[in-house]
Amino acid sequence: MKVLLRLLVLLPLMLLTACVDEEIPDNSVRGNFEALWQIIDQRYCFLDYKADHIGLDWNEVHQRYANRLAPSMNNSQLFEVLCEMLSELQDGHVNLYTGADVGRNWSWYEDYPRNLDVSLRDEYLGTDYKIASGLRYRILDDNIGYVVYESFSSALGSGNISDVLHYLRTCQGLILDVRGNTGGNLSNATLLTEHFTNEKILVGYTTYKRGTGHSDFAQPQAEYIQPSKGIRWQKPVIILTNRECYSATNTFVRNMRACPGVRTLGDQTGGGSGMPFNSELPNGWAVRFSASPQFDSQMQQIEFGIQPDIPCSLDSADVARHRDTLIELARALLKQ
Amino acid sequence: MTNTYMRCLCLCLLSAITFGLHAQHQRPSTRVLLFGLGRSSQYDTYLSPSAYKGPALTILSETRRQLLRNEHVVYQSRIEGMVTNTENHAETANQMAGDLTYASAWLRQWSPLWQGLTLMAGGQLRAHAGFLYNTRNGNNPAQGYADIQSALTVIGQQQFHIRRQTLSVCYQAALPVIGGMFTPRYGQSYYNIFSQGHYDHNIVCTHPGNALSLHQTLTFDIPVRHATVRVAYQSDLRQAHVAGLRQHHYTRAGLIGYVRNINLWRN
Repeated sequence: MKVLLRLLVLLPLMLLTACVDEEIPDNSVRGNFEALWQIIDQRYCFLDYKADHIGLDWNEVHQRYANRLAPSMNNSQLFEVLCEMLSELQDGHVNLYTGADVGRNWSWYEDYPRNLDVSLRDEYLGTDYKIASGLRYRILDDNIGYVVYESFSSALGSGNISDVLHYLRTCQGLILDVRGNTGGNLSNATLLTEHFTNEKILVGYTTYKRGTGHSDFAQPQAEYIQPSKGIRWQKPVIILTNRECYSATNTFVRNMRACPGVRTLGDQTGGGSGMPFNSELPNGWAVRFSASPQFDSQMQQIEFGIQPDIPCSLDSADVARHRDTLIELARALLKQ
Repeated sequence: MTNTYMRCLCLCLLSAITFGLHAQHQRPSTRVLLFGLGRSSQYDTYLSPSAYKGPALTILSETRRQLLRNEHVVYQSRIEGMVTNTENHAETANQMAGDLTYASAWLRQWSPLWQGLTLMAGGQLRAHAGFLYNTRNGNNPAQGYADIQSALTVIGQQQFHIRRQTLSVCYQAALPVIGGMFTPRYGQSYYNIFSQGHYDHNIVCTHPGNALSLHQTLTFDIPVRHATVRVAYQSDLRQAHVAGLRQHHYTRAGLIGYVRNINLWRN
């Protein structure tokens, strides 16, 4: 009985001494800076890769930007410093959100030619094109199927894709235009790819951080695509890409390159192979960062994009003649 | 032949009913239903390094009865539910949480121990499921909880009299000692676990060294005419430090409800 009574007294004491509580710095200029630096240091998944690839030294970044801090800084000044620090990562999946602004680095497409004229693309679609959920499509004059998918955030079902492919079944080939598609839902990327393979294919690998160290990754896991139970496309496919193909679209391009009869045409994709997670700073600002990297089937990084099989740029002379250089080249190749 | 079977079946049923009535006669049970309001602190580094705090609504249903075979053994079952909407320090984001716990306990009873004091101690099995949803996050918007724990539990109950009324104060504490819980790894997404099917030791063993938790209830029973009103204070402190993730879920609430003593077969 005495043991029970002692236990009764000890229980709350045990809990007091073993609290799992917040371990974040205070809500000050320095505290928010340290919190952000630490989130990236412990959870960002490309620090080692970017140290090798672009010479990023995250400890040196800390030193350099800490020198720019002053306790009297206002929110706007702090935001500017923090955004510049995050820009060192050169990652479109890294953002800082305040109530008034979004810190970003969009150099992955802003620094390159767009290779897309939306109004010109709309001319190819005309006004009588069909719409299946997020897919817009039609049969071009030379019996080539043309499908535009502008965002992987647009809902997509296997039934939609089967209906589209059934409509285009008499076409000689298919152009899948994902230029300007900056990503969205990864499961839509997987779903669409499933209609372009007859067998289970290895498309890449993925991993994630298991701990706070820069190299604390889980064993990479193979990613496979299973063939769809719906209609599967059996003819040649050309995917049109540009630098705006980012995140889930980058993954889609990676997946499609593993499918038979598929070629990519246009510019390198924008990249963004780290699935982003969210966190926050003591002052309530939200931060997004890449947490879970994806690789191609050769275990190569695709964070900075995927080279096209057939490089091609939009020619301004063609645009003047209301011709999209990429679409025209794809049509010519599919007719061969 | 068929008639013989039917007779046997009827006999069995009658025996079972008689046994059941006898059992009820021997087993007065206490049923309690309480509703509460309190404060909750939700902290899970999978979603945010900050603790979110806010109001919580709780419900607690409890049944307690003596076992038929041994009057010194008491069986207790509890169902606890909680919903909360919490906010971060800066009031820029919300987290919603909900959980449900079912607990069954078997306790040895020492009664009366000393001037109306009853003590009980025993083991408890706890099954818990819940979620925490951060309205602002993208690919890590929510965390799911599922765990089974075996716990040590103690109950101290003191009866006393004021103006010919019998009042009762009761304190119960439960300390989980070993169990298992589901958790994603440090940076593992739910997409990776469920869509891609990558299991990575997502069920972990828990013990006071990595998940020291404590569930306490203090109740005060007040007779009001022919009924009994129960006023209670509940402190539910759940913690875990597993798979590189840290979490706490503290809920403290005041509750009020009624007590029903059920005795189907009168003495």
